[in-house]
Amino acid sequence: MSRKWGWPVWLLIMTGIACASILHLAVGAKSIPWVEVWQALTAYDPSNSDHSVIQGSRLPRLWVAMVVGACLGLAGTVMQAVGDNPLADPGILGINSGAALFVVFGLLVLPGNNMSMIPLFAFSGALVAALGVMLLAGRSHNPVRLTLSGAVMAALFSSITAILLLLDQQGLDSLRRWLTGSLGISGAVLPHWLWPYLLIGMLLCLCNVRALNTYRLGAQAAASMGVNLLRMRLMSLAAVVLLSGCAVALAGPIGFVGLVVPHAARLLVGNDLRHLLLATPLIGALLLILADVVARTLVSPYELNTGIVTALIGGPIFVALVLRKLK
Amino acid sequence: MAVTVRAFFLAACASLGVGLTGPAAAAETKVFENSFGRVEVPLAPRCVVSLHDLSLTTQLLELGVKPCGSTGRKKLFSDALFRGAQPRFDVAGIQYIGSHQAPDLEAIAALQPDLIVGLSYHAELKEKLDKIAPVVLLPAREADIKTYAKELAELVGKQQRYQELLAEYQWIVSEFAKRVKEPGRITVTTLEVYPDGFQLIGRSGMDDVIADFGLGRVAAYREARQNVPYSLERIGDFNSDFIIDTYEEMLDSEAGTAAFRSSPQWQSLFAVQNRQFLYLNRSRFADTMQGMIGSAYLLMSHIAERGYKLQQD
Amino acid sequence: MSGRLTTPRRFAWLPWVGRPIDLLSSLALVLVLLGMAAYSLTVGSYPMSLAQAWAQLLGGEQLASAQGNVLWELRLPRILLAILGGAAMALAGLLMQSLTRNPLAAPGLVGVEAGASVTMLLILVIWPSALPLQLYPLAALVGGLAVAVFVVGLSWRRGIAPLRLILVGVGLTAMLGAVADLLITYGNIDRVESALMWLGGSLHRGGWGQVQSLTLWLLIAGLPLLFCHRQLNLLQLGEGVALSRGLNVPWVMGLLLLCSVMLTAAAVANVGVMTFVGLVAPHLARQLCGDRHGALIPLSALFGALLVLLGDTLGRALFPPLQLPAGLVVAIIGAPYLLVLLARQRNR
Repeated sequence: MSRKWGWPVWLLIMTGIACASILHLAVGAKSIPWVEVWQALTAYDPSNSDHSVIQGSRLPRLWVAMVVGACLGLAGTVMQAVGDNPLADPGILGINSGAALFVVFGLLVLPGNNMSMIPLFAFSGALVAALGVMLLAGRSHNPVRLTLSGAVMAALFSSITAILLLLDQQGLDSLRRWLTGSLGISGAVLPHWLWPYLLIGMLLCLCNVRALNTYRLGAQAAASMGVNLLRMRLMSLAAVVLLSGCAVALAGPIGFVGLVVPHAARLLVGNDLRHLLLATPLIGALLLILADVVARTLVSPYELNTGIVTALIGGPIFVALVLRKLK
Repeated sequence: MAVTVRAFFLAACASLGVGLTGPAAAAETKVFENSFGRVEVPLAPRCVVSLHDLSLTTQLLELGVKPCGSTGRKKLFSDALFRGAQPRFDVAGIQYIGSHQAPDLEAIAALQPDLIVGLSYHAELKEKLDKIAPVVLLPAREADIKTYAKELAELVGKQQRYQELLAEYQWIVSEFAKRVKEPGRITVTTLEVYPDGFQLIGRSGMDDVIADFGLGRVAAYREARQNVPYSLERIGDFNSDFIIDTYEEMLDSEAGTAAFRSSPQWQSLFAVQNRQFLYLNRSRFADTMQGMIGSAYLLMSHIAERGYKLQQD
Repeated sequence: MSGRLTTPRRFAWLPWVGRPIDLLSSLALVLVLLGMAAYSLTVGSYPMSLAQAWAQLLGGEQLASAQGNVLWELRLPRILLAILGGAAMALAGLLMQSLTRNPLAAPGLVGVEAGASVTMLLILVIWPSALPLQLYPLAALVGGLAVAVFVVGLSWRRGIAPLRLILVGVGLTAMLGAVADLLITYGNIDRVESALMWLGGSLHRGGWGQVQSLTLWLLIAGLPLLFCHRQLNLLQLGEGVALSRGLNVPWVMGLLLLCSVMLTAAAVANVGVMTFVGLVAPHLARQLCGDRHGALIPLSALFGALLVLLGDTLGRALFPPLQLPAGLVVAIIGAPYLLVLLARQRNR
């Protein structure tokens, strides 16, 4: 059950990311020749407007796509592992909508705040939503119950968001794009607040990997092998909240990445979480880069929001997974 | 304020020779007709309800008619805002009746209006509103500002005021024509930059003014669609002699786009390099006659009365 | 359990009279609903006392006055729509929960709401002149039904497989949500606005036409349910039991699912999206009468009506003249209750 194909798979993933990144940089609303792309990366000329498109808008967007994809992929893996549920995803389980609600609430209702508070709002929202879903779903390992609990929480949070935006129509204008998940929104540089949260989230996942791996054998087996189940669950919860909160704060709610990525990773590297936790951030980044390429080229010269593309790709995959798993 | 409304009311009633009994029941009527149909309306409406603040309410105020009720924008924990009308006009006495998408019909009924004006998309509400007062829909989104403002002026009997506004506007247009020869050589782009894209919008009648002045557009603009988010990468396509963007104080839009504005993409635009980029307040004017006049004066000062460079030269 | 099911009833054709307590609770709910409706008549931006409203209701000849207009054209159809829409959604939700044997199943589960929304957006954004205004509810109905049929078809496996149904429904709903977002972001803003208005706050533009249409659908798909309580009780026990009792399970499930989908589509088309009513109302009813569908069906409908009426009245009264959609208000009232209830059930 450990590794399936060994190092060629990792090579494949890395090559994929490299190719996708180059594609991401090279295509877009404005057509730029490949030579210019290469020169913009190697010999950057600030006065050249093609170079400035690459360095000023596509490269930052590429970084955001990578970080968001990695966060969501990792969060999805941890959720699926700790919930023992193949259908878990921060979007489907309502965690993204919880974070979105708290961000909207914080920006519109609480006085005297600024954009730097967004991550804190997002974390608290993600936490509340995660606790709510856990409360609703209980300890049963029933994927249906968990999915439906998530749907209920998502419906609740999005109706509250809708009421807030109805009461404050001025806010709707500024938040409409953010609410469907847009990678371009966070500006030219990755914000500094991101790194500590991101590192803590990833470290929590890594520290947890042994416990999670044992947990695959079942709760009782894991407990008898000396795994502290409560500690494992709490650490996983914290990791999921931090990672999906980071993603929401960066790009708004983007769904289905956390669902699709772990499944793809399991196909490639097997079920061992040590490999999965390394592979999913990479595959998540790859998937989101590709989704963003589609978002930026499909209706050129206009742009789609990346969240829409991931839902259009992820929806059918979700349905296919269900149809295959539940005969 | 209430005094003037009341005085107006009394004067209207006295001139028509009717008492205060029954709202508009005995008032003289006329038939108003436009592209949305024929409606029987009072000759001198006593209480007009406007279903759109940015265009109809402000245009009514400019014509010298204070509506008794209007839709507006609501901000949490603060009073409603009648966009375009505030702070240019005294809006005390205008009742807030909800959002323009879902106005409170009962609040309208409580005002006992004798005329309701709305836009084309209020056709869905027309059946219900008709039972409260005659409803007239105006083509504020389908036709240009002059057309709908003329219809509105006819409707409320303020043709005189409309002609004055039109005369002032046409004077600016003729002045501009005197000062600028071959205006078609000057290309102008109206847009709005957001953190993750831009749209081609010319608010406050700016696009009408540009057309009336006979100014040119770049090729990309003529093929483009409006109200669709464009990628910021395409901003170079709209590299015209003049670029007009707008900001909204309440949304902090200047800070939100600061990063993009310092990028070489933006800095390398012809209009930015030659200080021919105009950054205007989006809420200063509305889509009305005076909005057009204001926009026309702005273009007059920034294009006709100032030296400029052209890409063609 | 089966002993209870076979208890002879005094009036076999009126199932809920079987137990006096059910009759009593139904009557009590009807009274509360009437009281709520009467109170709701006096709430709104137009000042009107109960006595005035009553006089208007009795004296039909005063219809020309402004007060009569507000009462007859604005408030009364709105109150009736709230009651009918609530009942329809509650029944649809109850059916869905019984069929899937899952307390969290919502009537929008099989994609009816998402299908209706996307259809409306498509029509209004892409072909705005394709249909006259009166046919919009019908189009929403057709769109909702089409998506529901698709979901059911996908999850069909020698009969309806509840698990697959639920999960396929969730996935497809999320995907259709993205399509709706796409149309909203990239459509012409005016048309999108009117589509959103149409979908969101339909109750506030409700008229007698919608009341008639919803009544019709309730008669077609809702009334027959009162006589299906036996089949539902059997299904609740599991398909095996139902089969052994001589029930044609695939057929019955298919028909009941169709009823649920029709009720949801009719409610969405005439009143707008109100998921939580269908989730919460059956649970409220279960608190009174347990799982006996004979009583559960009428009680759920009454609770649904009461919830939407309450939500709409609050939505009108809280921030006038802004009108909060009833469905959103119900979600905020209903969701915490649902959370507490399910958390309690879990611990049992």
